Amino acid sequence: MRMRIEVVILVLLGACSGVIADAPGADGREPSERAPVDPSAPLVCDPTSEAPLPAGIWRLQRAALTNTLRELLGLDEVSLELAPDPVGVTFAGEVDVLRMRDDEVNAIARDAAALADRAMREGTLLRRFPCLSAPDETCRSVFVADFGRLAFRRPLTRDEQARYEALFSLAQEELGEGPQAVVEAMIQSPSLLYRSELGAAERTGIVRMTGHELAAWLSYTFTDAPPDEALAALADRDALDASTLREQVSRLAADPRWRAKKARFLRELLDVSHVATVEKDPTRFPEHAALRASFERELEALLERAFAGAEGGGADLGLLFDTREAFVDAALAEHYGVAAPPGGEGWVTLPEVRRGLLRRAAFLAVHSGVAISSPITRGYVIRTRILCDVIPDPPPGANTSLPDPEPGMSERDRIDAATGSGSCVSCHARMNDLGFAFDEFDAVGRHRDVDDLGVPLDLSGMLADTQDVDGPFDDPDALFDRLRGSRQVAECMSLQAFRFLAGRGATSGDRCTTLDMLSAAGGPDALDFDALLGAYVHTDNFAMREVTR
Amino acid sequence: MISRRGFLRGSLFTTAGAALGGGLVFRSAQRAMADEGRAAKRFIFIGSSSGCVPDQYWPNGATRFNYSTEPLERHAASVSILRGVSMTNGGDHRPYVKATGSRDRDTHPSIDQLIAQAHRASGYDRPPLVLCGASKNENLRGWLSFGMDGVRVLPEREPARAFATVFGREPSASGAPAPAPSSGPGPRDRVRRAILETVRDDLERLDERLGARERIRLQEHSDAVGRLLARFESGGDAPRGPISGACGEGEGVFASPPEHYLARCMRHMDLIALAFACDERRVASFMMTPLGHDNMRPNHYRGDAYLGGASAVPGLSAADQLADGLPGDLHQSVAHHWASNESFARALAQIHRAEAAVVAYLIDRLQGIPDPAGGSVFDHTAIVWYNEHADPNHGVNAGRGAFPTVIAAGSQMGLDVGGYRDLRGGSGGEVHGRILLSVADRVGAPLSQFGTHTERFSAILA
Repeated sequence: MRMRIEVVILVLLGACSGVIADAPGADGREPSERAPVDPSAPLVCDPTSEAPLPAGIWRLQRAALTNTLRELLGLDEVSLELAPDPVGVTFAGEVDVLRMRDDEVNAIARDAAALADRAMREGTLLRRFPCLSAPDETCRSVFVADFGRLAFRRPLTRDEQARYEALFSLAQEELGEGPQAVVEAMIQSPSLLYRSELGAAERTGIVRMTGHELAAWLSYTFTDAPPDEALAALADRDALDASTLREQVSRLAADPRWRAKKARFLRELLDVSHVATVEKDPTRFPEHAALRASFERELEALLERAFAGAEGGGADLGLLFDTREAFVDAALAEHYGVAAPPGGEGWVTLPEVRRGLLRRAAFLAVHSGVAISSPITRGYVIRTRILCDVIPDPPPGANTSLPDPEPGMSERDRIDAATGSGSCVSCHARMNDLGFAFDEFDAVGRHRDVDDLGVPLDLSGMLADTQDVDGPFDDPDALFDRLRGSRQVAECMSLQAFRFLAGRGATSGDRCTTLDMLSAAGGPDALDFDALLGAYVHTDNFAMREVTR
Repeated sequence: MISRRGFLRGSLFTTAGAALGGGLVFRSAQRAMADEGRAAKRFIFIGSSSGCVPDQYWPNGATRFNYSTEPLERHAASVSILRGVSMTNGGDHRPYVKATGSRDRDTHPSIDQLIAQAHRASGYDRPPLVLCGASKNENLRGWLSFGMDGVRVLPEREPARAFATVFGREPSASGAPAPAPSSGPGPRDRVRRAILETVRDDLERLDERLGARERIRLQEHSDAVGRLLARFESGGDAPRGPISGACGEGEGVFASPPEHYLARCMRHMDLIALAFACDERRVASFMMTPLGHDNMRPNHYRGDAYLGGASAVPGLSAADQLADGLPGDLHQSVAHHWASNESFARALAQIHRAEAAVVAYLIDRLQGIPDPAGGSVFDHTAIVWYNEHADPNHGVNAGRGAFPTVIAAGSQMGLDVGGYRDLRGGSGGEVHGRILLSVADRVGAPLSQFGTHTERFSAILA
C-alpha cells in the first residue's frame, strides 16, 4: 500500500493544477449519468470507466459548521439553531439532503447575528484583532483580509475584499458595528457554508482541487473542522506536495476527532445512533426506559476502544461478529445475565451467545418493534446494511399484514405464512431467515428461549442470494462465521465507507476506488475499518474532480 | 451587452427541466406585473395514512356525510368525497407516489413544488409551506414534498418553527399583529440589508462556476436569501403583502407549543391560514398522520415521543392507547387489521373523524379571511386531502383502486365540488394523477406532466 500511496502523490505532483483532461470522464459520461454500483454483482475494477468525484460544492454538515464557527470566532462553545442533518440513504448529511432552504437560511441568519454579537461582547475578536477597538482603514482592510481567509479557508478575491470592506464601513458608520457586520455576512456566505471542490479551472474536463480546497477537504474529512494553521499555511504557500501531504495525512489520522468520526461511521452504518431515545411498550418492558442509557454507554465504549487501538479492542469485522467484551453497569450486567463488575461498571466477557456487536442490546433494541422482536426488520437491516443488498418496498397491492396467530403457531410460522409465497417471497427469502437467527433476543435485546408467541425458537435458516456464501446454517454462530468470511460483506463495507466519506453512493465510476480502499484495509479476509476509512484519502482520484455541465 | 449574471437575474423557471438548465435567479421582492390584477389561487395538499372504515366513512343513503366525515358537513357545498381514486398508473400506495406521481423516489418533484414553481413563473416567489403533524425525518415514507430535483424536503413539525420560517421572526406572545413599518428603514435595517446583499452577491458569483444540478441547490439557497432580503426592502419585519386585516391576527397561539398531536395539527391549520392572509405563502402541504410505522423501519418510530404523549385516537393518551389494547403502531397494527377487531375499527373511525375535523377547521379559517379579489381566501383555494390507505385496507380487499380522497374548493376555483363521486369501475377507478393535473390547472399551474401522468380528469371541472 505504501508504494501505491507514493505513486498517487507523484501523480498529484505531476498535475499541479488546472484541467488535465477534456472529456467529461474516462467513460465519456456525465457523473449524473453513471449507474449506481450494483451490489448484487462482485466489484470489478475497470480503469476505463473510472472517474473522479464530480466537482462541486458541499454544504458543511452541522458538526463541521459548529466546529468551524467555534474555531473561527474563538468561542468555547457554539450552539446552532440549524436543525440536525437529515439522513440520506444511509448516513446523516449525505450531500443530496443537505440543503439551504428557508428553514436553514433563516436559522443561519439568526445564528450569525447572535454569534457576531457574542464574539464582540466576549472579546474574542478583539483579542485576535486589537485594532478593532478603534478601527481605521488599515485595520478594516487587515481584518477583512485575515478574518476572511479564515472564514473562507482561502484568501479573499479582490472583489470580495472590496465588498466586505464596504460593508464594514457602512455598518461602522451607521451603528459602530463594522466587525460584527462582516462576521455576520461571512458566516452566511456560501464561501463559508459550502466547501468548494471546483478545482482551479472552469473548462469541461477533470480538474485537480486547488491547494486550499485540498487542505479543507483533508481537514474536514479527518476532523470535521477547518484546516489548522499548519495546513492552512501549506495551502497558502501552495506547498502541499507529496512529502507535506503525507505528513499532514499522518498527523490528521492521529487526531482524536478522526477516531470519533470513525466511530460515527459504525453507529450510522448500523443505524444505532438513537439507541438512547428508542421507545418500547412500557407495559411489556418497564425496565427499558432506564436501560437505554446503559445500552448507549456500552456502544460508545466498544467503539471508542476499537478505534483507539487499545488492547482487547480492534476495529475489524470481529467487532460486529465476534467480540465478547462488553462495558456494563450493574443493570446491563443483569440484562446480559452476567455478574456485575467490581465497582459497579467495567469490562466483562459475555457468554458465546452475545458474540459481536450485532448481538448486543443497542443493536437489537433499535432493530425491533415496540413490543416484538420483528425478525423481518432485523433481516432487512443485515441484508441492506451489511450485505448492501437492495430490498425494494413491498410491491403494489401487497398485503403487509400478518395473519392472526393460531394456537401453537410460532412467530416464524406466522411470518412464513404471510411472506412465503406470491410476490412477497422473492424478497423475504433473502431476509426472513437472517432475522430469525436473531430471534433468541426480544425487543429489548434480552435473551430468551421462546418467541413472542411463547413457542420454542428455531434459529436455523438458509442464507440465499448472496454472491459467495449461500447455504443453510444451523445456528447464529454458523451464520455469523459465514458473513464474516464473505467477500460481499467486505465489499459492502467498502461501499459504505465510500458513501460515508464521499457523501454519496458509489457509481460505476468509483469501482476501482472502492476496491483500492478494500485492498488497503486488508482485503476481505482481514478487513479493518480503521484502515478502510483511512484509505479513502489515498485513492487515485482523491484530489481530482470531474467538471459537470 | 448583458452579462450572464444580469441575464440570470431576469430569467424564470417554468419546469424542472428548465430549472436544470437554468441559472441563478434573484427575484424582485415586488410581485411581477403578471400577477397584478388577477386573483391569486392557492393550493393545499394534505396526506393521511389510515384509510377508512367503509361503513363509517362513505355515504350510507341517509346522508352524504357519515360518522367519519361528519365534521365536513358544514362545508357540504364546497366538498367532494371521491371513492375509487386509483394508483394503477402511478405505482403503489406510498405517500411519495401520490405526491410525485411516480414510483421512482427522489427523481420527480411533488405536486406542491410543481404548483409553487408555476407560481414563480408568474412572479410569486414564495415556496410551499411544508408541514407535518407527527413525524419529521423519522419516517421517510411519510414525506410528502420533493423539490424540483426530486430530493425530499423536510416537513416542519413544530408550528412555532414553521412560523419563524414563514415570517422571519418569532411569534409575538401577545398575539398582536407585527408593528407596521414606520418612517422607512432605520440604520439597523440598512445594515442588515447590506449584509444580505453581500451574501447574495457571493451566491451569484459562486453560481457561475457550478454544474446544472448544483445550481438547483444554490437556487434554493438564493431564493431563501432573497426572501429574507425582501423583508428589509419595506424597512422592517412587517409581513410582505398582507391581503387582509387577518394578517398578523392571533399569532400568539404560536408562542407556546401545542399540548398534543391533534392540537398541533390544528395549529398548523392556523399557520396556513395566517400565511395565506399575509400572502407569505400560496401553496402548502401537510402530512397529517403517519401514525407510527412499526414494520419495515421501526427505528424511525418514536412512539409517544413525537405525539407529545397523546394518542392519535382523540381523547386518549399514548399510555391509554396501549392500556386499551390498541397497539403502539396505529398504522400497520390497526389500520391494516380493523376488519377483524371491533375496537380497532372504532378507534380508526374516531381518528378519521378527527382528521376530517382538522380539514373542516382549515376551511373555517380560510373562509374567515377576506380576499381582495372578492369573497374569502377559501373561495380562491383548492384543497386535496388524499389517503395513503385504500378502502378498506390496501392489499387485502380493494388493492390500489379506492383511496379515500376529498377535494374542497371555493366558489371561484372552477371545480365541480359539493357531491359524492364513486369512480370505481371496470378500469380500476380514476387515476389520482389526472385529478391532480386538473386541480393544478385551476390553481394557476397548467402543468404538462405530473410524474408519469399527462392526461387530465376534466369531469371534476365546473
